[in-house]
Amino acid sequence: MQIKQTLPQLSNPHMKHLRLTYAFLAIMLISACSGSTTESEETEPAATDPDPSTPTVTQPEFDPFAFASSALTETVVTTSCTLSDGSASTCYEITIAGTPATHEIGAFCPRDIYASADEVGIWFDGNGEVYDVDGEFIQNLAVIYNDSNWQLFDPVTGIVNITDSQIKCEGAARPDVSEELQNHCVECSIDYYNGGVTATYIIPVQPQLASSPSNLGRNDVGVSLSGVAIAPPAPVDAILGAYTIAAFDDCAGHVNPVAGYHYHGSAGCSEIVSENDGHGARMGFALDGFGIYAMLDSQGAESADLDTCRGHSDEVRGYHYHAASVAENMFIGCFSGLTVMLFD
Amino acid sequence: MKSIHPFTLKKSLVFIALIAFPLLSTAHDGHHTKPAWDACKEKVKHDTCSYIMQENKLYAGTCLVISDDLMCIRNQPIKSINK
Ligand SMILES: [Zn+2]
Ligand SMILES: [Zn+2]
Repeated sequence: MQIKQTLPQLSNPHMKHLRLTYAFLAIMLISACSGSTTESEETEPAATDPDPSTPTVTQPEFDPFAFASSALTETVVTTSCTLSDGSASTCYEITIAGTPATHEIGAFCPRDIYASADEVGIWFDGNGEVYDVDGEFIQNLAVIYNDSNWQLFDPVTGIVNITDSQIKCEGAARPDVSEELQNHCVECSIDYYNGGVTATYIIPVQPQLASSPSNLGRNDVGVSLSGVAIAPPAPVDAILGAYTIAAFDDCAGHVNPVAGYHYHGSAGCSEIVSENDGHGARMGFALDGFGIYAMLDSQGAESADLDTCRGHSDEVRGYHYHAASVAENMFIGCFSGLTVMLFD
Repeated sequence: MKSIHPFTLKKSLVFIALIAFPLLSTAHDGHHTKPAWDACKEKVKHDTCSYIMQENKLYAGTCLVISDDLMCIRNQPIKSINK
């Protein structure tokens, strides 16, 4: 069923006091490398913010059938919800498996300094470049990061220091990484977490543009069609500050003790719903219900008319986002739509 | 594959949140992508911004807040430039 997109209602300031609610905390915890923050709302729309007063194309409803088979662990049900403008609405409860339905997890860290690119995952250099975490990368860390304290391998054997147990993995994921776990490539097996951390997201059935976009906090940004959390940016500085590398696999995902497996970038592994018109494939949904699509179309081109949130509208998909590149350590810039504040 | 009733899951998540939150929050101070953060260091939210990566690729967009960081969020196609 397609419903004409409705204008958001006026904001109810009293509802902001209800942010630290059951619903918010539940959603907060499923964030990936995250702590907590309330999402502060923007007050002044930027020049290229989505304009909800413009005559809109028909906005498709959130499609709970777009997910890959076995990406969800529960039957999708609807629930009453209150959106971020205070309006009452209907939402879906989406429970993801937390393990990708469309690909294997890993590989992450190299076993030794002789490992080739096809045996390992990827990581950043701290300046936005993405590298294969191969033996050469590991040997060059002191140069790449311009810090002689980097020594991730045994100089005699060439064996790389890897967090190869649950205790080490969880120790390296703490804020105060102990000295013996510094200079490690951090790798956590999903087997430590029952094969995947399931999580429930409450998403509006009918996505609606907000009167102004809202900031992305430290919470998850959305859910992938493969059944994995779309996480906020990885805290690269904090990770590198502990002389650790939280290697991603080639799908730009990794495992942490709280979120399990989650994505930090759109690397082509959950872009499973292709489009007939050459538009980039859909890879997931933001928590405001709008679709997130691949950065590039079938010709390898990027859209030139994205708003500040990295979204735009067309007649087929209505309003939707395009993910950024993996090197940018993010997906979208802000929520253009109303998100869920409370639910039953 | 686990099968957890959503209600049970949500309740447990709240419980974990209250315990784990202070620990996790300190783990994630600091910025996320240095060039994007540097590009907005002297700017305010909604200012236009740009930075260069991969030696000659221009990333241009707007300063926005993500995870409490003001950073440059690209919304223009990546452009190659001659340095
Ligand atoms: Zn992460
Ligand atoms: Zn598009």
